[in-house]
Amino acid sequence: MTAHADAYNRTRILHRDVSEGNILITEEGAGILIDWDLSKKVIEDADREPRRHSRTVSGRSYISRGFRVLTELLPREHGNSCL
Amino acid sequence: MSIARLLDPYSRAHEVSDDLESFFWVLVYEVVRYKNDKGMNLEDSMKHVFDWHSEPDKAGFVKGGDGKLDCVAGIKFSASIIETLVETPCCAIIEEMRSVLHDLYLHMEAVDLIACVQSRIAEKRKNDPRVEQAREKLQTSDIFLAMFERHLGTGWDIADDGNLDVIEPQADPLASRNGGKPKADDSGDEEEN
Repeated sequence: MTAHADAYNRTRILHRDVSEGNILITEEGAGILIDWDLSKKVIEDADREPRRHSRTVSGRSYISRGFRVLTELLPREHGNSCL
Repeated sequence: MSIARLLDPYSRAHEVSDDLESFFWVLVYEVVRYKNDKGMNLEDSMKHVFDWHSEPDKAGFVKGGDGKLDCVAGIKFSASIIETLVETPCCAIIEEMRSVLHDLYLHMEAVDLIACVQSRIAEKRKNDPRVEQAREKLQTSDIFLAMFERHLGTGWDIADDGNLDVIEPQADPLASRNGGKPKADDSGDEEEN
């Protein structure tokens, strides 16, 4: 939950797929939030618009790849707690 | 997945509150599945809460969320069941998270409703200040993070809390795609559900 909050507070990126299978627990008991493939940058002004016809994505593949690296490599090396 | 997204994924964009709610569902799932050392029969409730979905409507849309509405209302996986499953502060965290989600979804129904009932529900939600207060609370992660902070500060022993899985493994439809190979036996870093 900490990782999720950090990502959102710093970059306005929402994970959007928080589930049992996407939270790993290290041997030390720390949680790692993985699989940011569905993550998306929240566009503040268009936030509350219905999305039936338009699905606005901002740089999704670049961002999710970036976060995969951040979340899958950094926490393991530095032991960050994510839950 | 949040109740709001299961009921109608197109009504609005995905919000922080949806992800925060997902953390609640993860916690409830882990507890009812892995902390059931008293052998309660919770499988029907689990199916209802986590898997319920409607029949497709005329346009082919399928809704979910009815079971989760029952859970945030305290009807499924009531406080009595949760406190029987987990005595640690985990139980308190679940109930605190649930109370915010309870208010967020006040008066809501998952069944297909005729227009006059829909407008009655909308009116009730508009006039009930608890709904807006809950929405405000879930604009950021602060409230939920504070709940964990407070309860983890009580010296909750997470070293070995004796998890077990009492549900018989079922055939995984994905298994055939992976050649039926049992997962996570040697990788050591996968949390298997």
